[in-house]
Amino acid sequence: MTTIEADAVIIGSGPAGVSAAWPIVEAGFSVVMLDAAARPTPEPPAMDLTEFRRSGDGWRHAYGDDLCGLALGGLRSPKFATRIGQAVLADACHPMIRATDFMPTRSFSAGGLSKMWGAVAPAYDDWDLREYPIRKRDLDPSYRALAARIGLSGGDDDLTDFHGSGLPLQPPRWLTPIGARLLDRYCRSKPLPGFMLGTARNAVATETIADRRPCNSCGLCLYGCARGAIYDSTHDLAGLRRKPNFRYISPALVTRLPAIDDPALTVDIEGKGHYSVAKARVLVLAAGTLNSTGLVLARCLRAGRKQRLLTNPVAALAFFLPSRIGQPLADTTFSLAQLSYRLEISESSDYASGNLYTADGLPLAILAEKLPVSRPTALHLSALMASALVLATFFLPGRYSQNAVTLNIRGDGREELVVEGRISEDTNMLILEGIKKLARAMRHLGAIAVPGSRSIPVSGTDAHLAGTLPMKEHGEDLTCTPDCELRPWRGLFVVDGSCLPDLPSKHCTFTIMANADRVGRVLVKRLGNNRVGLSI
Amino acid sequence: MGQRNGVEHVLVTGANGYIGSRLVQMALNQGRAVTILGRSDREASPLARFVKWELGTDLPEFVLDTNQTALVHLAHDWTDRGEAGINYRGTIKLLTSARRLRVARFVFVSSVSARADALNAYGRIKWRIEQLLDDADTVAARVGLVYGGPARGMYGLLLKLVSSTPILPMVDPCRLVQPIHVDEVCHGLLALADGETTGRVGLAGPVPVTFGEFLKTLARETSAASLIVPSVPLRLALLGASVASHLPFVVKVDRERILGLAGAPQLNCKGDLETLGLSVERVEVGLRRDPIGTKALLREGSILGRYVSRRHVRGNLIRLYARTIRTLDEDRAGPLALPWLALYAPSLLRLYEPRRSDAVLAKRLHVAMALAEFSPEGVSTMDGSGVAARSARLLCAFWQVSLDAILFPFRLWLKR
Repeated sequence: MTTIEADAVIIGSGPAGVSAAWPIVEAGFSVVMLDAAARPTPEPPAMDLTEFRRSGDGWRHAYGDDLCGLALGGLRSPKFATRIGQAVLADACHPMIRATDFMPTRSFSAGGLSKMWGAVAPAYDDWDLREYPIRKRDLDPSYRALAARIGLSGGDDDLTDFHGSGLPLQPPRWLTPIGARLLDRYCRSKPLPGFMLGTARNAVATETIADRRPCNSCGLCLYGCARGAIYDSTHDLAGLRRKPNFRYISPALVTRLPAIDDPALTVDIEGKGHYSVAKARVLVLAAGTLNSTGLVLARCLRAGRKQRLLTNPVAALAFFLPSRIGQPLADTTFSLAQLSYRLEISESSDYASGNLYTADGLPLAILAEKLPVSRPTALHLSALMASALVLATFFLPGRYSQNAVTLNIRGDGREELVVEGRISEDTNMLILEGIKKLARAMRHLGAIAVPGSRSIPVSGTDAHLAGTLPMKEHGEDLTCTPDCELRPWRGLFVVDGSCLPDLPSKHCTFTIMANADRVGRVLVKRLGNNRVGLSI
Repeated sequence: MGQRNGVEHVLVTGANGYIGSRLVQMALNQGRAVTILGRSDREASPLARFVKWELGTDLPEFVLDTNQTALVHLAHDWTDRGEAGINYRGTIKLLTSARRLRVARFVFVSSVSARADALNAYGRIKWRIEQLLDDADTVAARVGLVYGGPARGMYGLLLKLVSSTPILPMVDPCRLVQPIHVDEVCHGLLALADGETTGRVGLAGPVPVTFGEFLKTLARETSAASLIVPSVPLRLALLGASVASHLPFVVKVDRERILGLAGAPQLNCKGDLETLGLSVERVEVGLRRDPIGTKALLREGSILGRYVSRRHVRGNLIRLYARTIRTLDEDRAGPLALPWLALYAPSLLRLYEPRRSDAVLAKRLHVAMALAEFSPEGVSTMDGSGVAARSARLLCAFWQVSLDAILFPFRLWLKR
């Protein structure tokens, strides 16, 4: 049995884990990061779009070496079908999950879900944080530090305040003609009440940052960014690993958290058949909402107790710009969000939001699949339509989700996480109403909704999972303190999505990272002046 | 080969035939010594010993190295139509001389059609011979409709028929047959040689299928084609066969074969197969293990690929298609029965394409489309087939959609 000793042990290498690690490492404390990742994620395609289309090898990236991506249904995000998507979601095995009407998205790979995220990175404002025991000013230093480190790009427009102002921004060089045109029309037309449009706020570098090269609009975003322009937490991991007081251990699957009354904070690790115990002064749980929740519930054996699980109820809709139909497929494009919008929800002070994407970087089969014509015609039409299409996502705040997660001890004594998803009739109505409103606003901008293109996927498809161990000023067991220390443990901090008490319709990753950074800073104060050397 | 408690030496008659050649190969692969008894060693395996022998003569005197020897008697003289003819007398001679040589087991290969009142002489002869074999060292294997492996024997004939025509009139296609793969037959025969079973043992598909269904499966699994099997009266079929025998370039069908098709009783052989430890798969499963099954899936890939990309497709795309179907469609990884004409004019699938997206063909078309998109052929199509002007591209799309609309009623009608 090997013993690991360090000031802080962080479980998970996703965006939350690396964000919490930075302040602690930079303050000179020793940090050990435990990662379940057993295999490297596959290399993204290093070519341009034309080459990619003609190489005859693109199917590998689109559907995986074993072509399993083709077996997935059309109601999922196309990212899940890709080689990198499959690799990121593979091997997640502990604890087992049984899901009904829910897509349990989690990752056991290095970098976690950030290896396949959409990179949309807006900051929360005080209205978004109204259910939180912290305010925007608590997060501001972290937002700023992060923005500089991960590289945020976006424009200065109606949504600047909505996305968070006062952050260092790089210019949105990835904006495609179709995105620029919609934005231009929006700026010139009379604004529709309750609808605001602006450039998306993306964690995409358009200027060189460290080893990462700026975005060149190669359009292959879906298959992973070979240039490293799209941020994922492995970039930070690489930086951290260059620090002498940081140690990364993988594969190291944490199977058991410390007991509630264990001052040594001992965890069980399973990696390549070796078991070892890590003794930490603070333990940071950043394994991703489902994994962390599973570990916590299993440790305190809260079988049968339903924990609330927040997700953003999501819908998708396609629009087309008639004047662009029949344009040849572009050689450069950008497949992440181009524009974002904010849409007021009727009879509520809440808002919905979402992003607009172009479709010319997506596999055409995804479009063709939905066309009610013969297959050759569908392929032909989708090639003609791809450059005229705008795909929109639509997110409602997490409070409208009604998911629950429960720990179940199976007959064979093994633990199993049961996730039940539900979208209520009212929520459905709200989605439909919101989408109608969005369609009206888009028509105003010259984009017409494609009939029959609306889809409301199953809960969890958004992969914005949060809120199982919410931070509260005063709370019962299995909630976090404002500093994200999990009650009733001492020294166990939760920094991934689980600690968010509320989920606005804005994308949550940037805030999860900022919060983890904030907690990292808190921990630096906590650890005081005593430093423990790394010992493994 | 690992540990095997069975006969070490197998004597085979009829080793040049469809089953015989496969049996010799399998026995050799299992590490057994094989002696071929036959008229000529032209096609014999160089690994097997050859001993000259002819049906109707005694076995020549030769020394057996081991008393663990079995004889599998497959030889049959098709010209003999008499019930006490060369086949009958020859088997008696063979059996007596084999016993003299101290051959431990005598496995006679009979047929499920063996009956005293069988329509064809073959069934009657086999039945007659079976009556001779009631001793502790003999066993008769009643073999069902054998398929698979090289295209020889009855299987070769049927393959030739189903691949040459979309409509195959057949005598009594509703009659049940019990197909068994040639490798399963050989496994069964060797198991019989090893064991102590006596009497008559069924080596046939435990679940009978209609003969028409069998032929359709054969067409689908070997050439991805659909087949219509109308029923013809026996007399007409016999007349047709005798006319065909006088025409050049036409598949010749022996009268005996047609009579054999007309009446084979069912045999409950589940128990026999269990005793032998032999599992007999369904026809499609058996064929998919054969090279010919892969060929059919490639052919399907070629047809669907040409259909969706509207141009000739290359081997890469076709092989990728076959691989994808094998990976994704585990339940029924075989080829589909596509209309016969689709091979020559894949665009005709426009009439045939299912409207429901959960239909198997619809799923396959989606795979073909998804892969075509990432192939150079597909990219050329999507680029607008070289048409640069936007108006021309739009016009082309308009024509495509109109064509779909015009053909829609036909599609509905065909699917009905």
